[in-house]
Amino acid sequence: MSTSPSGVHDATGVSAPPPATEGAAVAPGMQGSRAGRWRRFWEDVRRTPSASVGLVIVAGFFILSLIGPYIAPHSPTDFDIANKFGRPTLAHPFGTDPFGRDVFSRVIYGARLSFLLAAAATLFSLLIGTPLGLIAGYYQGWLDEVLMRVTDALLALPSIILALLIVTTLGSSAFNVILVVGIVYAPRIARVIRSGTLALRNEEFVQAARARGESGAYILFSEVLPNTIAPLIVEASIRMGFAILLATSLSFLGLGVSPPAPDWGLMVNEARPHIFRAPWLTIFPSLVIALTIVGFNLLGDGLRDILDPRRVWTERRSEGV
Amino acid sequence: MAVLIVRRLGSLAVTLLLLSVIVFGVTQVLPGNVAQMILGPYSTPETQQALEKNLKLDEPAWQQYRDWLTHFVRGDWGTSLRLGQQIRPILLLRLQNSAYLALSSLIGVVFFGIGLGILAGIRQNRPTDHLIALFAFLGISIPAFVSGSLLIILFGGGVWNLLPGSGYRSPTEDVRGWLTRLVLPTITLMLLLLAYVIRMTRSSIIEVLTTNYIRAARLKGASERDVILRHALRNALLPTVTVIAINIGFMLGSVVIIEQIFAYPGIGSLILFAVSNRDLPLLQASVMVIGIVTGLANLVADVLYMYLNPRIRYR
Amino acid sequence: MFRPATSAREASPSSTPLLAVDHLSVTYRTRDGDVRAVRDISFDIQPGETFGLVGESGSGKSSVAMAIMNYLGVNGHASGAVRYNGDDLLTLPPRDLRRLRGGKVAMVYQDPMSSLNPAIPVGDQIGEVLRIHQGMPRQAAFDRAVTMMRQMHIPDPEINARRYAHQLSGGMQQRVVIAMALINNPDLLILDEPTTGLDVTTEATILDLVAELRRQFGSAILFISHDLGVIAQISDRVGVMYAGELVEVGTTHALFARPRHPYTLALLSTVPKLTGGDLDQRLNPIPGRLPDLAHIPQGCIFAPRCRFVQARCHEAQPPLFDMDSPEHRVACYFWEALPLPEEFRESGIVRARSAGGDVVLATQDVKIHFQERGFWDLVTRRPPALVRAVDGLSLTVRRGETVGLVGESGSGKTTFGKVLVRLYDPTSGTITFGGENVATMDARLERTFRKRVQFIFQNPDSALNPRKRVGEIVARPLRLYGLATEKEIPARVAALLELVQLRPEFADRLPHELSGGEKQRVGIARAFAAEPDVVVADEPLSALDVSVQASILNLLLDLQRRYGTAYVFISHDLNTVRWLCDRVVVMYLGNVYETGTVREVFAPPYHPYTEALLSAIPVSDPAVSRERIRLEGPVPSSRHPPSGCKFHTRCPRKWGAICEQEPPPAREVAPGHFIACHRPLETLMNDIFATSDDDTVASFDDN
Repeated sequence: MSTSPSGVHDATGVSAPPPATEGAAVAPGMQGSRAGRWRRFWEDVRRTPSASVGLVIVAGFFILSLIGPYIAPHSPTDFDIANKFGRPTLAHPFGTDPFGRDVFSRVIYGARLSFLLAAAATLFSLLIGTPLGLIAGYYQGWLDEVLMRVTDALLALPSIILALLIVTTLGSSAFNVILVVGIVYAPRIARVIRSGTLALRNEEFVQAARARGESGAYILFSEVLPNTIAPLIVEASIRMGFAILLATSLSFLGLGVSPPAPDWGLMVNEARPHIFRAPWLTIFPSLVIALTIVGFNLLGDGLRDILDPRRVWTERRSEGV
Repeated sequence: MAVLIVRRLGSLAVTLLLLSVIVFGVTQVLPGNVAQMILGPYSTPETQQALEKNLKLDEPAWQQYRDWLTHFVRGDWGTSLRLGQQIRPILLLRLQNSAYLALSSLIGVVFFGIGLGILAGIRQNRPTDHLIALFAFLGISIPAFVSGSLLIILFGGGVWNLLPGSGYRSPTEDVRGWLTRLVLPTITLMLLLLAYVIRMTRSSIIEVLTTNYIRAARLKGASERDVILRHALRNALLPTVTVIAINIGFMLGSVVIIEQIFAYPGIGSLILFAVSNRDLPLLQASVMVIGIVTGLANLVADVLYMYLNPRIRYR
Repeated sequence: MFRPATSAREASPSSTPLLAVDHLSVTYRTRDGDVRAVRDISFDIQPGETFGLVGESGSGKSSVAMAIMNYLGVNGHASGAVRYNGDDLLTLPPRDLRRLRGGKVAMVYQDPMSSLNPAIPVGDQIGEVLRIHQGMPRQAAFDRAVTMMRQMHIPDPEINARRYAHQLSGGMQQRVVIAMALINNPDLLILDEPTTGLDVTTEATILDLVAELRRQFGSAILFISHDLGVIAQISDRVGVMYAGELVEVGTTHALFARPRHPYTLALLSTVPKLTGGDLDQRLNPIPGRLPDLAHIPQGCIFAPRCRFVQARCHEAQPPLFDMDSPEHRVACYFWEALPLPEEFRESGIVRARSAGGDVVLATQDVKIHFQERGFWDLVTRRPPALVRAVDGLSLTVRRGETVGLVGESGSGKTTFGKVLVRLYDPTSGTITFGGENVATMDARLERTFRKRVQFIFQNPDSALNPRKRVGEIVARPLRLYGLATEKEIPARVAALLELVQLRPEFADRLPHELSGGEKQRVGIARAFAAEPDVVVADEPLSALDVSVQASILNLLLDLQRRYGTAYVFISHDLNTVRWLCDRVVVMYLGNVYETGTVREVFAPPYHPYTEALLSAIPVSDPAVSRERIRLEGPVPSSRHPPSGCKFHTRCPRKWGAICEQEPPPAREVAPGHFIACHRPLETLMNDIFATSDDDTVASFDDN
């Protein structure tokens, strides 16, 4: 877990550490100001290919979800039976579906839906997982034991199976997709936060706070939590990608968002009977799903490289050595 | 180490017990009239009552749970509501079908995953590494239903008509048909899992190569080949063992989607059937079976890890 | 002592050197520019000679070692030449290089555990060298490894050779690494901080081993260390490095007797001495910090921190001047004008030793036992494993005094320190603060207690929350205990920073922007912000360079004088304890074996354990020799402590069966001086400091 984002830690065997950076001077003015830290971070993002490519894709996806409905050439739901199974043309770049709806417009509208579903689900799982992880990691004891056994049991099931189990209970709807994905990922986030908290718990600054007589709440939220932010951001980014993956998978199985919503997974599902007759119905939504998830994963990976203490590797890579 | 294994077995038992509570509990909180839900809106109150009696829904929850669990442990997994048949034979047959799929991709994953991972690790930051990394990346990111659909379009008839895109043949009747229908789903599953194994192996190799004992080995005068084979691999492959086991569980999840795409009659499509038809006994039993298989796979991996790691073996 | 008679080689430097480092520079490429870690250094090592390279962190000494091995990694680059028997190692083809590495030039590293492959039995790892360099079959190589381990005084070598690294103690691991280095009879052995991180008693046995092996094998040795004491003990010649440059080089005797570079001079006088020296004198810290090696200033590299600096020093970098002989060379324009070490010490006494005021903090028979009992132990009804970290410790701390807690790792001193500030509660026994039992305090009293008893942590990197600014960190106790209004806080923070000699603008910095010493100052400021009566300091110096240690020690002393604060100073470093503390408690495996004033504990009669500790410490004066008392083996586990006197398994002065049967009584040999030993007192009178330096003994009687 990253405790000092730009400290050069043990630079490990392959190369001896540049000794000057250890106990020695920091170039004056280099990192002092908040703005300087941001500039440095921005520089890191730019020199880490995965982070910059991921950021571009994610930003594009985000913008599309904001302005999509304003730029889509057609309605996502209006039928035009005369025009069904249209091959991709200039007017319909992604073709049309069995009801003559414009696939391009549906894909564009789908961005907002996917973004909202994934963001809400990720937020939900963070809101449940983070406090549980913090409390379990810090207080330990029976609470930790119970919590960990329960997450063990939940994690014994592959996420899609767990999701199916919950869907059976809740029924399928857009809102329930958020709940399901949130519940499925919450234990995973709790695990990540717990292990981070566990490591931080024995840090001397936390001991110092305890020796000072600080309250548990102060220690958790003022001493521990700020140090879990970096891994949380990484986790959130990767979880966003997985949330889209799980949500579209549920829709693909016909257990997520119901028709006629322009959901990407649903579109691939509805295209199945026509997979040979009108492959574009499958291909375009599939590629967009893949691209979006790749974007979030790249961003998460890049951020981990940047925020991780073992960043020495990133530096070498980005320098092309 | 025996103590550790016993301990590990104990925690598996606890996990599975909790899982059974969750599986049973989740199906208990079905909103509204369960019987009506199952039988549909046009069912009569009489048939609903009969079903409630049949499902013992009139008894207290804990008693239902106890009965269900004891029966499950004894091997009586109940009767499917929709199929009207004993669950166990169907489930085991479907599990066997899924196992073909899982095993064939597991072999591929272990072979290619570890191989490519090592290659990427020792060629770190060179073109080979970047290429493998890109491949692994796409594998991790692309959902199975996307890659599966694209594979069908490519090889199942859309572009080239090389392999059947769906269906299943029993190996006892038609070995060739069985094999050809296994290829595409296996590749889809492999693509999904290869990525994890490659990435884990690669980062683990890279990490090991930065350790002081690798430096010591090099400064002993050992050749690079010896450094990798004698010193690095033993330590680097340890975490991979765990990842492969976790993948077995992950695999059993992915089969739900893959079997749906390829119309493959395995445990995944059975679960999907149970979910769509609200066949509770069938759903409970199949989810438990998946939980048990996952748990056992992790157990085997942990024991293997302990055995292969001298730091645990000789504590 | 055990240094062999000075070799004849010293007199004839003209013989061909085994290793000639010739204008070597090492540069690392980093994102902040090229770090020029080593710049233009040259030195020779003669066959069979031991050359010590000493420097603080950032001096580039390890980079020199790695450059000699031609192993600098992807971002490192060496220029110049490293000639080994005439071959330049920097340009040697990989195949020839591999033949030398491990065969003719071998290396021993810091942190032996990490240098050993966790998955291969150690015997095979040693034998591998022979398989590589002599093509020996596996079994034969293994057998030779066992023989070699026996020569390293590893007990039961047949058994231990089949073990894995984690099954061996730290001392044994280092012996294995040394065996691995020596098994092919190398001509040159490079030891890079081989004893750092080991207990003093283990360090002493490893140094003995190196000295013994040197005689036996005749390898030349390049010994790298930050510890002047270790270097003085082991080397024929010494090179002093500072910020990537070799600033002084000479024979050990000449260099320690007449250091001619201001940095060497300063370094020698920053360390408190175990013998001699005026105990009540201030230490000489080296002001400032290491220059940024990515932006080297013009002129002498040490000029910004040098107290003899002149205008000329800033103009051009001084070359290495030959002094009386070409053997002793120094990179300073004004070497002739520098004072001798004795004259260099800062004058003026600091304080008189304190007898202390009223008792502020006291413990009565405190025991701290940890139960290692998991969920499954409960189920399987296994008896819990009991770790007796502290096993009955009574201590009084008086206002204004400093009590030192010393012992090896595993002695329970840190655990006890943490119980003093109530990070844990004791298993039994009582702690009283101002006469009040701490365990039964109400919330208000507890708050007072927490405010009045503060803690300074060992590791400055971990003691400060990396996400908080220094100002916030220092202000927290003020806010928590309501010591200042929100409006007063900026001024109070500035005052506290000034108190620890940090500029007020440090308040806006984040911990990672500070050096180790600066971080530790912030930790001290945070402790003193609470206006404490007692400060418990847990090894506050161990993570710092010696030149920084001195300034922290001076600071602690100044603060104590100003506020009358009592210190509980936990340390493994007896030099420092002798200088800083008024009273000393010597701990071993959770028990106290000796306690008394500094003067009493550091003079006979000694407890055998105290005696062994004192004898093990390296002294940074080649002229001092002491009796050798060595402890064999590691400290036993506190899970299964030995019966009777816990020290009996390692005691070099074991008296008889009684030591195994009964815990020794604590006998008061003088008022307040207790020794817990079965031996008759008169048999403990041996003085280990048989020094050639006469005034050493006198200094004990001075005041």
